Amino acid sequence: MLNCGEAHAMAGDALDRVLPGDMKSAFLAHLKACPPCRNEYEIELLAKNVVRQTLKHVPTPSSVSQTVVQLLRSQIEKAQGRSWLDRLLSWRFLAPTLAAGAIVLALTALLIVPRETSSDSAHTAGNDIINQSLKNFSLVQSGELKPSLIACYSDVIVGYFQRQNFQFTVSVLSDDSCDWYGAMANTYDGVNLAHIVYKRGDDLLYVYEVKKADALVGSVLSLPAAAKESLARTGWYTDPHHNDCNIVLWTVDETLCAAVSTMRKDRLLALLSPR
Amino acid sequence: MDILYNYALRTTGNEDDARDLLQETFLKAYRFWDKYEKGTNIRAWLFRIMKNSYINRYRKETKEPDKVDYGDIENFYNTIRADYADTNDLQEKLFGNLLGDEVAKALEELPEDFRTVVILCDIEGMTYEEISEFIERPIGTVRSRLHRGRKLLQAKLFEYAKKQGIVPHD
Repeated sequence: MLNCGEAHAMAGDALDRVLPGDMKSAFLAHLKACPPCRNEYEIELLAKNVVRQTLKHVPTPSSVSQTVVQLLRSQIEKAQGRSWLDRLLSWRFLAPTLAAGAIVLALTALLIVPRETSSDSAHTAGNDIINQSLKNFSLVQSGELKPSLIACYSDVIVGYFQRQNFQFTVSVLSDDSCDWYGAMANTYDGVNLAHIVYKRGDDLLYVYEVKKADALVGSVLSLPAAAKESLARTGWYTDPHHNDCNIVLWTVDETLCAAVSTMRKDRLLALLSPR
Repeated sequence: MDILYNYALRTTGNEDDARDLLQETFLKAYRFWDKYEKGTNIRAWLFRIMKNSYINRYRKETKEPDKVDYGDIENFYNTIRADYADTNDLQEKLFGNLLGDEVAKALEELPEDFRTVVILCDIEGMTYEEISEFIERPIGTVRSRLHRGRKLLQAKLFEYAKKQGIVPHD
Protein backbone atom coordinates (compact mmCIF):
# COMPACT_ATOMS: atom_id res chain seq x y z
CA MET A 1 0.00 0.00 0.00
CA LEU A 2 1.35 3.43 -0.97
CA ASN A 3 1.77 6.09 1.67
CA CYS A 4 0.51 9.66 1.11
CA GLY A 5 3.91 10.94 0.02
CA GLU A 6 4.27 8.26 -2.64
CA ALA A 7 0.72 8.84 -3.86
CA HIS A 8 1.36 12.56 -3.97
CA ALA A 9 4.42 12.04 -6.15
CA MET A 10 2.37 9.99 -8.61
CA ALA A 11 -0.57 12.37 -8.81
CA GLY A 12 0.76 14.38 -11.76
CA ASP A 13 1.44 11.32 -13.90
CA ALA A 14 -1.96 9.90 -12.97
CA LEU A 15 -3.57 13.17 -13.95
CA ASP A 16 -1.88 13.10 -17.35
CA ARG A 17 -2.55 9.39 -17.81
CA VAL A 18 1.06 8.38 -18.06
CA LEU A 19 1.19 6.26 -14.92
CA PRO A 20 2.06 2.62 -15.72
CA GLY A 21 -0.75 0.10 -15.08
CA ASP A 22 0.50 -1.46 -11.85
CA MET A 23 1.36 1.89 -10.33
CA LYS A 24 -1.98 3.26 -11.37
CA SER A 25 -3.73 0.44 -9.53
CA ALA A 26 -1.70 1.14 -6.42
CA PHE A 27 -2.39 4.85 -6.72
CA LEU A 28 -6.15 4.35 -7.07
CA ALA A 29 -6.14 1.93 -4.15
CA HIS A 30 -4.51 4.59 -2.01
CA LEU A 31 -7.06 7.20 -3.04
CA LYS A 32 -9.87 4.86 -2.15
CA ALA A 33 -8.49 4.44 1.34
CA CYS A 34 -7.37 8.04 1.87
CA PRO A 35 -10.08 10.75 1.51
CA PRO A 36 -7.69 13.74 1.86
CA CYS A 37 -5.51 12.48 -1.01
CA ARG A 38 -8.60 11.64 -3.03
CA ASN A 39 -10.01 15.13 -2.46
CA GLU A 40 -6.79 16.79 -3.50
CA TYR A 41 -6.51 14.65 -6.60
CA GLU A 42 -10.09 15.30 -7.59
CA ILE A 43 -9.56 19.04 -7.33
CA GLU A 44 -6.47 18.77 -9.51
CA LEU A 45 -8.37 16.72 -12.03
CA LEU A 46 -11.19 19.19 -12.01
CA ALA A 47 -8.87 22.18 -12.46
CA LYS A 48 -7.14 20.51 -15.38
CA ASN A 49 -10.49 19.87 -17.01
CA VAL A 50 -11.64 23.44 -16.36
CA VAL A 51 -8.55 24.77 -18.15
CA ARG A 52 -8.94 22.34 -21.01
CA GLN A 53 -12.63 23.03 -21.48
CA THR A 54 -12.66 26.80 -21.06
CA LEU A 55 -9.39 27.55 -22.87
CA LYS A 56 -9.76 25.36 -25.88
CA HIS A 57 -7.15 25.17 -28.58
CA VAL A 58 -7.90 28.03 -30.98
CA PRO A 59 -7.10 27.67 -34.66
CA THR A 60 -4.96 30.51 -35.98
CA PRO A 61 -7.28 33.03 -37.67
CA SER A 62 -6.79 32.94 -41.41
CA SER A 63 -6.16 36.70 -41.46
CA VAL A 64 -3.24 36.21 -39.06
CA SER A 65 -1.71 33.31 -40.95
CA GLN A 66 -2.09 35.20 -44.23
CA THR A 67 -0.37 38.22 -42.75
CA VAL A 68 2.54 36.08 -41.60
CA VAL A 69 2.85 34.38 -44.96
CA GLN A 70 2.72 37.75 -46.71
CA LEU A 71 5.35 39.14 -44.38
CA LEU A 72 7.70 36.23 -45.01
CA ARG A 73 7.12 36.38 -48.73
CA SER A 74 8.04 40.06 -48.78
CA GLN A 75 11.18 39.37 -46.74
CA ILE A 76 12.23 36.64 -49.14
CA GLU A 77 11.55 38.85 -52.12
CA LYS A 78 13.56 41.65 -50.61
CA ALA A 79 16.44 39.34 -49.90
CA GLN A 80 16.32 38.03 -53.43
CA GLY A 81 16.67 41.57 -54.70
CA ARG A 82 13.41 42.05 -56.55
CA SER A 83 13.09 45.50 -58.00
CA TRP A 84 11.57 48.14 -55.80
CA LEU A 85 8.69 48.60 -58.20
CA ASP A 86 7.66 44.94 -57.91
CA ARG A 87 7.63 45.25 -54.17
CA LEU A 88 5.65 48.44 -54.31
CA LEU A 89 3.01 46.56 -56.22
CA SER A 90 2.79 43.98 -53.45
CA TRP A 91 2.52 46.54 -50.65
CA ARG A 92 -1.14 46.78 -49.79
CA PHE A 93 -0.82 50.05 -47.90
CA LEU A 94 0.79 51.77 -50.83
CA ALA A 95 -1.84 50.77 -53.34
CA PRO A 96 -3.82 54.04 -53.25
CA THR A 97 -0.78 56.13 -54.09
CA LEU A 98 0.86 53.66 -56.38
CA ALA A 99 -0.32 54.92 -59.74
CA ALA A 100 0.66 58.54 -59.22
CA GLY A 101 3.74 57.67 -57.18
CA ALA A 102 5.15 55.28 -59.75
CA ILE A 103 4.96 57.84 -62.54
CA VAL A 104 6.50 60.61 -60.49
CA LEU A 105 9.12 58.28 -59.12
CA ALA A 106 10.13 57.06 -62.55
CA LEU A 107 10.43 60.59 -63.88
CA THR A 108 12.32 61.94 -60.91
CA ALA A 109 14.57 58.93 -60.79
CA LEU A 110 15.48 59.53 -64.39
CA LEU A 111 16.02 63.23 -63.87
CA ILE A 112 17.49 63.57 -60.42
CA VAL A 113 18.71 60.39 -58.78
CA PRO A 114 22.39 59.86 -59.51
CA ARG A 115 22.61 57.13 -62.07
CA GLU A 116 24.95 55.58 -64.52
CA THR A 117 25.19 58.14 -67.26
CA SER A 118 27.78 60.06 -69.14
CA SER A 119 25.59 63.04 -69.88
CA ASP A 120 26.50 64.88 -66.67
CA SER A 121 29.86 66.53 -66.77
CA ALA A 122 32.14 66.80 -63.75
CA HIS A 123 32.41 69.94 -61.61
CA THR A 124 28.83 71.07 -62.08
CA ALA A 125 26.13 71.52 -59.41
CA GLY A 126 24.60 68.25 -60.54
CA ASN A 127 27.61 66.28 -59.38
CA ASP A 128 27.89 68.03 -56.02
CA ILE A 129 27.46 65.43 -53.29
CA ILE A 130 25.60 67.85 -51.02
CA ASN A 131 23.20 68.82 -53.78
CA GLN A 132 22.57 65.22 -54.70
CA SER A 133 22.00 64.32 -51.06
CA LEU A 134 19.51 67.16 -50.62
CA LYS A 135 17.56 66.24 -53.73
CA ASN A 136 17.41 62.60 -52.79
CA PHE A 137 16.32 63.46 -49.25
CA SER A 138 13.54 65.60 -50.64
CA LEU A 139 12.35 62.71 -52.79
CA VAL A 140 12.51 60.33 -49.84
CA GLN A 141 10.48 62.76 -47.77
CA SER A 142 7.80 63.09 -50.43
CA GLY A 143 7.67 59.34 -50.83
CA GLU A 144 8.66 59.56 -54.46
CA LEU A 145 11.92 57.77 -53.92
CA LYS A 146 11.49 54.34 -52.37
CA PRO A 147 14.39 52.22 -51.22
CA SER A 148 15.05 48.93 -53.00
CA LEU A 149 15.05 47.12 -49.69
CA ILE A 150 13.27 47.82 -46.46
CA ALA A 151 14.12 45.85 -43.33
CA CYS A 152 13.59 45.98 -39.61
CA TYR A 153 17.18 45.03 -38.85
CA SER A 154 20.33 46.88 -39.77
CA ASP A 155 22.25 43.72 -40.57
CA VAL A 156 19.83 42.97 -43.41
CA ILE A 157 20.89 46.30 -44.88
CA VAL A 158 24.56 45.49 -44.28
CA GLY A 159 24.07 42.19 -46.12
CA TYR A 160 22.37 43.97 -49.01
CA PHE A 161 25.34 46.27 -49.53
CA GLN A 162 27.83 43.43 -49.13
CA ARG A 163 26.16 41.74 -52.07
CA GLN A 164 26.73 44.88 -54.18
CA ASN A 165 30.50 44.25 -54.12
CA PHE A 166 31.31 47.92 -53.73
CA GLN A 167 34.90 49.00 -53.43
CA PHE A 168 34.15 50.52 -50.04
CA THR A 169 32.39 49.36 -46.88
CA VAL A 170 28.96 50.91 -46.47
CA SER A 171 28.57 52.18 -42.94
CA VAL A 172 25.16 51.29 -41.50
CA LEU A 173 24.08 52.78 -38.22
CA SER A 174 22.52 50.22 -35.90
CA ASP A 175 19.84 52.17 -34.10
CA ASP A 176 17.47 50.58 -31.58
CA SER A 177 14.96 53.36 -32.01
CA CYS A 178 14.80 52.87 -35.77
CA ASP A 179 11.41 51.66 -37.05
CA TRP A 180 12.84 50.46 -40.31
CA TYR A 181 15.86 50.81 -42.55
CA GLY A 182 15.77 51.35 -46.29
CA ALA A 183 18.58 50.76 -48.78
CA MET A 184 19.30 51.46 -52.41
CA ALA A 185 22.44 51.16 -54.54
CA ASN A 186 23.28 52.68 -57.90
CA THR A 187 26.14 54.16 -59.87
CA TYR A 188 26.84 57.66 -61.10
CA ASP A 189 29.21 57.78 -64.04
CA GLY A 190 30.73 54.54 -62.85
CA VAL A 191 30.97 55.62 -59.21
CA ASN A 192 29.17 53.35 -56.77
CA LEU A 193 26.70 55.08 -54.46
CA ALA A 194 24.88 53.72 -51.43
CA HIS A 195 21.70 55.30 -50.08
CA ILE A 196 20.28 54.46 -46.66
CA VAL A 197 17.06 55.71 -45.11
CA TYR A 198 16.43 55.47 -41.37
CA LYS A 199 12.85 55.89 -40.21
CA ARG A 200 12.75 56.89 -36.55
CA GLY A 201 9.25 57.78 -35.42
CA ASP A 202 8.37 60.97 -37.28
CA ASP A 203 11.95 61.57 -38.35
CA LEU A 204 13.58 60.52 -41.57
CA LEU A 205 17.31 60.36 -41.88
CA TYR A 206 18.83 59.90 -45.32
CA VAL A 207 22.49 58.98 -45.69
CA TYR A 208 24.42 59.07 -48.96
CA GLU A 209 27.63 57.06 -49.00
CA VAL A 210 30.46 56.91 -51.50
CA LYS A 211 34.07 55.82 -51.56
CA LYS A 212 36.09 58.59 -49.92
CA ALA A 213 38.59 58.79 -52.74
CA ASP A 214 35.79 59.25 -55.27
CA ALA A 215 34.38 62.09 -53.20
CA LEU A 216 37.58 63.92 -52.34
CA VAL A 217 39.98 63.37 -55.20
CA GLY A 218 37.92 61.85 -58.03
CA SER A 219 36.72 63.83 -61.04
CA VAL A 220 33.14 62.58 -61.22
CA LEU A 221 31.73 63.90 -57.95
CA SER A 222 32.48 67.17 -56.24
CA LEU A 223 32.36 68.82 -52.84
CA PRO A 224 32.76 72.45 -51.79
CA ALA A 225 36.32 73.35 -50.86
CA ALA A 226 35.28 74.16 -47.29
CA ALA A 227 33.83 70.68 -46.89
CA LYS A 228 36.96 69.01 -48.22
CA GLU A 229 39.14 71.06 -45.93
CA SER A 230 37.05 70.31 -42.85
CA LEU A 231 36.80 66.61 -43.63
CA ALA A 232 40.55 66.39 -44.13
CA ARG A 233 41.19 68.24 -40.88
CA THR A 234 38.54 66.80 -38.52
CA GLY A 235 36.73 64.06 -40.41
CA TRP A 236 33.47 66.05 -40.07
CA TYR A 237 31.70 68.82 -41.93
CA THR A 238 28.36 70.50 -41.16
CA ASP A 239 26.91 72.48 -44.02
CA PRO A 240 25.63 75.83 -42.72
CA HIS A 241 23.35 76.87 -45.58
CA HIS A 242 20.07 75.09 -44.94
CA ASN A 243 17.16 76.23 -42.81
CA ASP A 244 14.74 73.36 -43.28
CA CYS A 245 17.13 70.49 -42.72
CA ASN A 246 20.62 69.70 -41.50
CA ILE A 247 23.45 68.17 -43.47
CA VAL A 248 26.40 66.49 -41.86
CA LEU A 249 29.29 64.89 -43.73
CA TRP A 250 31.84 62.62 -42.15
CA THR A 251 34.29 59.91 -43.09
CA VAL A 252 34.55 56.37 -41.79
CA ASP A 253 37.72 54.64 -42.92
CA GLU A 254 37.53 54.72 -46.73
CA THR A 255 33.90 55.83 -46.87
CA LEU A 256 32.38 59.30 -47.05
CA CYS A 257 28.88 59.69 -45.64
CA ALA A 258 26.47 62.58 -46.04
CA ALA A 259 23.48 62.61 -43.71
CA VAL A 260 20.42 64.79 -44.34
CA SER A 261 17.57 65.07 -41.89
CA THR A 262 15.01 67.46 -40.48
CA MET A 263 16.18 66.40 -37.04
CA ARG A 264 17.70 69.15 -34.93
CA LYS A 265 21.43 69.42 -35.47
CA ASP A 266 22.30 68.43 -31.91
CA ARG A 267 20.12 65.32 -32.10
CA LEU A 268 21.51 64.44 -35.49
CA LEU A 269 25.09 64.81 -34.32
CA ALA A 270 24.33 62.80 -31.18
CA LEU A 271 22.91 60.04 -33.34
CA LEU A 272 25.89 60.02 -35.64
CA SER A 273 28.55 60.54 -33.00
CA PRO A 274 29.20 56.84 -32.23
CA ARG A 275 30.57 56.67 -35.72
CA MET B 1 1.39 27.69 -36.58
CA ASP B 2 -1.57 26.88 -34.31
CA ILE B 3 0.53 25.88 -31.31
CA LEU B 4 2.51 29.10 -31.61
CA TYR B 5 -0.59 31.23 -31.99
CA ASN B 6 -2.28 29.59 -29.01
CA TYR B 7 0.80 30.01 -26.87
CA ALA B 8 1.03 33.67 -27.91
CA LEU B 9 -2.67 34.19 -27.21
CA ARG B 10 -2.58 32.56 -23.79
CA THR B 11 0.63 34.32 -22.87
CA THR B 12 -0.09 37.85 -24.02
CA GLY B 13 -3.80 37.68 -23.24
CA ASN B 14 -5.06 39.41 -26.37
CA GLU B 15 -5.29 38.77 -30.09
CA ASP B 16 -3.41 41.87 -31.23
CA ASP B 17 -0.33 41.14 -29.16
CA ALA B 18 -0.55 37.47 -30.10
CA ARG B 19 -0.53 38.38 -33.78
CA ASP B 20 2.44 40.72 -33.31
CA LEU B 21 4.35 38.09 -31.37
CA LEU B 22 3.64 35.50 -34.04
CA GLN B 23 4.87 37.84 -36.77
CA GLU B 24 7.99 38.70 -34.82
CA THR B 25 8.67 35.01 -34.30
CA PHE B 26 8.51 34.16 -37.98
CA LEU B 27 10.56 37.21 -38.94
CA LYS B 28 13.27 36.18 -36.53
CA ALA B 29 13.08 32.59 -37.73
CA TYR B 30 13.61 33.82 -41.27
CA ARG B 31 16.44 36.06 -40.18
CA PHE B 32 18.19 33.33 -38.21
CA TRP B 33 17.32 30.45 -40.52
CA ASP B 34 21.00 29.59 -40.80
CA LYS B 35 20.98 28.85 -37.05
CA TYR B 36 18.34 26.16 -37.39
CA GLU B 37 19.83 22.67 -37.24
CA LYS B 38 18.26 20.61 -39.98
CA GLY B 39 16.63 17.44 -38.74
CA THR B 40 15.77 18.88 -35.33
CA ASN B 41 12.25 19.69 -34.22
CA ILE B 42 11.34 22.87 -36.06
CA ARG B 43 8.22 23.43 -33.97
CA ALA B 44 10.36 23.41 -30.85
CA TRP B 45 12.84 25.81 -32.46
CA LEU B 46 10.08 28.23 -33.44
CA PHE B 47 8.55 27.92 -30.01
CA ARG B 48 11.82 28.86 -28.31
CA ILE B 49 12.14 31.90 -30.58
CA MET B 50 8.64 32.94 -29.60
CA LYS B 51 9.24 32.41 -25.90
CA ASN B 52 12.44 34.44 -25.98
CA SER B 53 10.76 37.16 -28.02
CA TYR B 54 7.97 37.31 -25.50
CA ILE B 55 10.39 37.53 -22.60
CA ASN B 56 12.39 40.29 -24.29
CA ARG B 57 9.43 42.24 -25.49
CA TYR B 58 6.76 41.96 -22.85
CA ARG B 59 8.34 41.00 -19.58
CA LYS B 60 10.33 44.24 -19.60
CA GLU B 61 7.03 45.98 -19.04
CA THR B 62 6.18 44.18 -15.82
CA LYS B 63 7.25 46.04 -12.76
CA GLU B 64 7.59 43.09 -10.43
CA PRO B 65 9.50 39.92 -11.06
CA ASP B 66 7.52 36.70 -11.07
CA LYS B 67 6.98 35.47 -7.55
CA VAL B 68 5.51 32.25 -6.29
CA ASP B 69 4.37 31.91 -2.74
CA TYR B 70 4.19 28.19 -2.17
CA GLY B 71 3.02 28.86 1.36
CA ASP B 72 -0.21 30.28 -0.04
CA ILE B 73 -0.76 27.18 -2.09
CA GLU B 74 -0.32 24.93 0.92
CA ASN B 75 -2.64 27.15 2.94
CA PHE B 76 -5.21 26.86 0.20
CA TYR B 77 -5.22 23.11 0.49
CA ASN B 78 -5.29 23.15 4.24
CA THR B 79 -8.30 25.48 4.06
CA ILE B 80 -10.05 23.28 1.59
CA ARG B 81 -9.43 20.20 3.63
CA ALA B 82 -10.59 21.84 6.83
CA ASP B 83 -13.72 23.44 5.38
CA TYR B 84 -14.93 20.82 3.01
CA ALA B 85 -15.08 17.26 4.17
CA ASP B 86 -16.80 16.22 0.98
CA THR B 87 -15.22 17.60 -2.18
CA ASN B 88 -17.96 16.44 -4.51
CA ASP B 89 -20.08 19.45 -3.70
CA LEU B 90 -17.07 21.75 -3.52
CA GLN B 91 -15.87 20.79 -6.97
CA GLU B 92 -19.14 21.76 -8.51
CA LYS B 93 -19.21 25.07 -6.70
CA LEU B 94 -15.53 25.80 -6.96
CA PHE B 95 -14.87 25.67 -10.66
CA GLY B 96 -18.21 24.93 -12.26
CA ASN B 97 -19.22 28.60 -12.40
CA LEU B 98 -15.95 30.13 -13.51
CA LEU B 99 -15.96 31.85 -16.89
CA GLY B 100 -13.36 31.43 -19.59
CA ASP B 101 -12.07 34.98 -19.06
CA GLU B 102 -11.39 34.29 -15.41
CA VAL B 103 -9.56 31.09 -16.18
CA ALA B 104 -7.57 32.83 -18.92
CA LYS B 105 -6.62 35.63 -16.54
CA ALA B 106 -5.56 33.17 -13.87
CA LEU B 107 -3.39 31.43 -16.43
CA GLU B 108 -1.85 34.70 -17.63
CA GLU B 109 -0.91 35.56 -14.07
CA LEU B 110 1.16 32.43 -13.63
CA PRO B 111 4.91 32.84 -13.70
CA GLU B 112 6.25 32.36 -17.21
CA ASP B 113 7.91 28.97 -16.71
CA PHE B 114 4.84 27.45 -15.07
CA ARG B 115 2.37 28.96 -17.50
CA THR B 116 4.30 27.57 -20.44
CA VAL B 117 4.12 23.94 -19.34
CA VAL B 118 0.47 24.23 -18.32
CA ILE B 119 -0.43 25.64 -21.75
CA LEU B 120 1.55 23.01 -23.61
CA CYS B 121 0.22 20.12 -21.52
CA ASP B 122 -3.34 21.03 -20.61
CA ILE B 123 -4.38 23.07 -23.65
CA GLU B 124 -2.17 21.73 -26.41
CA GLY B 125 -2.22 18.16 -25.06
CA MET B 126 1.49 17.63 -25.57
CA THR B 127 3.37 14.77 -23.89
CA TYR B 128 6.04 15.35 -21.26
CA GLU B 129 8.66 14.35 -23.82
CA GLU B 130 7.45 16.91 -26.34
CA ILE B 131 7.31 19.64 -23.71
CA SER B 132 10.78 18.69 -22.56
CA GLU B 133 12.05 19.19 -26.11
CA PHE B 134 10.20 22.48 -26.49
CA ILE B 135 11.52 24.06 -23.34
CA GLU B 136 14.89 22.29 -23.41
CA ARG B 137 14.57 21.03 -19.87
CA PRO B 138 14.57 17.47 -18.47
CA ILE B 139 11.27 15.65 -18.07
CA GLY B 140 11.65 15.87 -14.31
CA THR B 141 11.61 19.65 -14.60
CA VAL B 142 8.52 19.48 -16.79
CA ARG B 143 6.77 17.38 -14.12
CA SER B 144 7.84 19.68 -11.35
CA ARG B 145 6.76 22.84 -13.18
CA LEU B 146 3.45 21.30 -14.12
CA HIS B 147 2.78 20.32 -10.55
CA ARG B 148 3.61 23.75 -9.19
CA GLY B 149 1.90 25.57 -12.01
CA ARG B 150 -1.31 23.67 -11.56
CA LYS B 151 -1.33 24.18 -7.81
CA LEU B 152 -0.84 27.88 -8.26
CA LEU B 153 -3.53 28.02 -10.92
CA GLN B 154 -5.95 26.21 -8.66
CA ALA B 155 -5.22 28.67 -5.88
CA LYS B 156 -5.91 31.59 -8.22
CA LEU B 157 -9.15 30.06 -9.46
CA PHE B 158 -10.21 29.47 -5.88
CA GLU B 159 -9.59 33.13 -5.11
CA TYR B 160 -11.79 34.14 -8.05
CA ALA B 161 -14.49 31.78 -6.83
CA LYS B 162 -14.32 33.30 -3.36
CA LYS B 163 -14.50 36.87 -4.67
CA GLN B 164 -17.58 36.05 -6.66
CA GLY B 165 -19.25 34.26 -3.80
CA ILE B 166 -19.20 30.96 -5.64
CA VAL B 167 -17.56 29.50 -2.54
CA PRO B 168 -17.81 31.07 0.93
CA HIS B 169 -15.13 33.45 2.25
CA ASP B 170 -12.89 32.24 5.08
